[in-house]
Amino acid sequence: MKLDIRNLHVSVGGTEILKGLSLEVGTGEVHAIMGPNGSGKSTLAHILAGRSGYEVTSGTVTYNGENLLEMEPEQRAWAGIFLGFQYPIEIPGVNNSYFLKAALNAKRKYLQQPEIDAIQFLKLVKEKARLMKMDQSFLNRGVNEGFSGGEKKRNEIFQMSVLEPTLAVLDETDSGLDIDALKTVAEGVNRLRSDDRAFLLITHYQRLLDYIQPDFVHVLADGRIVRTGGRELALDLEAQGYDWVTTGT
Amino acid sequence: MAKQQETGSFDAMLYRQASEALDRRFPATRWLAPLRKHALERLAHSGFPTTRDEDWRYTNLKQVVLRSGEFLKRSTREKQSAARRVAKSELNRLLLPGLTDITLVFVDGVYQPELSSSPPPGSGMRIRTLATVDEQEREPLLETLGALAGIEGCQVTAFSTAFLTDGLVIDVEADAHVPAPVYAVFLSRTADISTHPRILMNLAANSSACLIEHHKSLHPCLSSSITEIRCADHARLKYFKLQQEHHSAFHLASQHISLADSAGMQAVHLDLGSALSRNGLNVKLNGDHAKARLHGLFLADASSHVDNHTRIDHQAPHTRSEETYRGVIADHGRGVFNGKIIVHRAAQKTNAQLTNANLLLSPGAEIDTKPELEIYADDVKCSHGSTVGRIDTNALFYLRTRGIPEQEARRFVIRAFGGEIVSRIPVPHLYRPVSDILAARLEHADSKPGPKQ
Ligand SMILES: Nc1ncnc2c1ncn2[C@@H]1O[C@H](COP(=O)(O)OP(=O)(O)OP(=O)(O)O)[C@@H](O)[C@H]1O
Ligand SMILES: [Mg+2]
Repeated sequence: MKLDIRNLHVSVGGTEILKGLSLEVGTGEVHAIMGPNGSGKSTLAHILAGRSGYEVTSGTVTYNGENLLEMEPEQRAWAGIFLGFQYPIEIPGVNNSYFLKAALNAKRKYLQQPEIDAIQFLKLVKEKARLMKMDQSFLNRGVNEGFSGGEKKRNEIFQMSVLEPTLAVLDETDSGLDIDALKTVAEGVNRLRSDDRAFLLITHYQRLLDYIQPDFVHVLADGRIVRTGGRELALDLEAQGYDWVTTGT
Repeated sequence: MAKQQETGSFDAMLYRQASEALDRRFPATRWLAPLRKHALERLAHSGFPTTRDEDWRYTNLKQVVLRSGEFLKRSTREKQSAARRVAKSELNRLLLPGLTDITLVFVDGVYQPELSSSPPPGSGMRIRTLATVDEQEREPLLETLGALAGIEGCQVTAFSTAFLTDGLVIDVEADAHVPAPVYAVFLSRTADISTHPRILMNLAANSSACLIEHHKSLHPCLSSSITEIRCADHARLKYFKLQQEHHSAFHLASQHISLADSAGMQAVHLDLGSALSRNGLNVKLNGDHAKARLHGLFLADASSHVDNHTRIDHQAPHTRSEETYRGVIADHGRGVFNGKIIVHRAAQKTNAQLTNANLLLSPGAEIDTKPELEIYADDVKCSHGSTVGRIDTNALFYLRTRGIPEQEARRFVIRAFGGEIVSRIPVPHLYRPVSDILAARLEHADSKPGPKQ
């Protein structure tokens, strides 16, 4: 796994939001991205997942050597990219577990693997739901339909644990979680951590990083990475706010 | 000529000839002739409705009227019974599964006793055809047929009645609970004919029954059906209508249901076929505490036109109605929804809710929706609303980020939209097969999406 973002410029409706962002993520690494509201963190996450409506005016994004920006969202998923949404979407009437099975099988089809059989799938999701401390009844509800904020976030990590991505971009998955849920979510991430996977954690709170220890911490401000450091950077940010890193850049 | 069509007039000579041919061809229902004659006179007097009639503003019957004469002529021709000889195996492919207990099959408008099965004696339900009713029943039937529908008010009802040849008379005894649904199938296998399905159903006090109407045609044709159902005190009706006419067919249908004290009904309408269809559902909550729950899903694609008019009359206190209709419009399809709720003076403590949600799948798709409330009582709780939307692009993106291809993601969302209505079908074992029918139909409708949104 290798993600390479170089000098990325992205605009929405004529307004430049990412202004020359560069970032390299290698296999096995966990990167945390912090930064003020409106600095472009979710924009970056959306660009990586292939959301339309953004204009990439210059720069490149390669994923395992391929031009990521040319791939459709579903192709990116098949290639192992997962986006945990800051605001997961409710899709009434689309059954959670039916949807997840379709997602899993779409990827399997791409990998030329046979479809997962119903019993095996049920076993898999039940096990993952148990690990995420999610009630079984959530499996048969509409995707995020009527879920509480925290339940939606938990559902994102549950989906991630079933789909087993190689690069997971988690956009503020920790926001709005109570302390137990935060631990469960962190455990979910830690369970998946391995040498052939990588994580991009977007967060406002260093608290998350107590549970998921990152290899790098970046500060994204005004559309650029303005600072990169280790875990200790997050502690400094927590204590001092963003001003000391953003001024003078 | 152009002027003639605007006034909704038809080829009177072809109509008269067809009417006379009926008297000869169907001797068993010659007793209906006075009813037919009267209806034809009404129709001759008023003509078909035109788009200048408020109730028909968006639905133009010009093509239907234009072709109806020829259709009538063909359907009254003597020699075409061969087409009606349909093998059971073929029939089974066309029918909904698991409904064999009470099945009444009409092919090209003619009842097929050998393909049908009646309720067993002792079940509390009796079913006859108009052609086989006892002689002493004829006189009262001439009075009741059309009493709820009222041919005076509606020209399409007059049309259907003018060419009525056969139909079902269903009686449910007091206190009888008939678990098996009555499955009435109206199948047209011959091209360019006109059929006039008819059902008259009576649920006596404290009885319950379920009626399924399945309208299907394999070729272009015209079907104009009328269903009248009376529910006496405490009676319970479940009703499901599946309209799967040929994509070039015309379908003009209406149901008229009255509910007495504490009677209740649940209805699901599914409109999946035809080039032009109009369904009028009229419910009268006549008795205290009567209640109705109505669900409908209509689909228009290619250049088809589907019109649903519903009207609920709250005539008595403590009556409740709950209505949810959904429309899916693709290609250059056009949908029309008009839902009227009238709360009459006497209907205090009424509770009425009506919603219509529509999903437009392409830029060329169109919907005219109008929920209407008329309230003449003061102590009531009523709400109504309608929405028109396109597929939520955020939902599509979400599904795609999980690896579900765009087309399939669209299908998920559309199917979920319609599935909500299918899940209301009052016969649980039909969810699966009807969901499959719907899924296939929606997939077809969405297979030619316009420019991406
Ligand atoms: N579709 C859009 N149209 C106009 N402006 C947009 C659009 N999407 C994002 N923006 C703007 O781009 C900027 C960056 O937004 P983004 O959501 O990436 O910020 P963020 O860093 O994730 O913030 P937060 O911490 O609040 O989640 C904001 O100023 C936002 O208003
Ligand atoms: Mg954000």
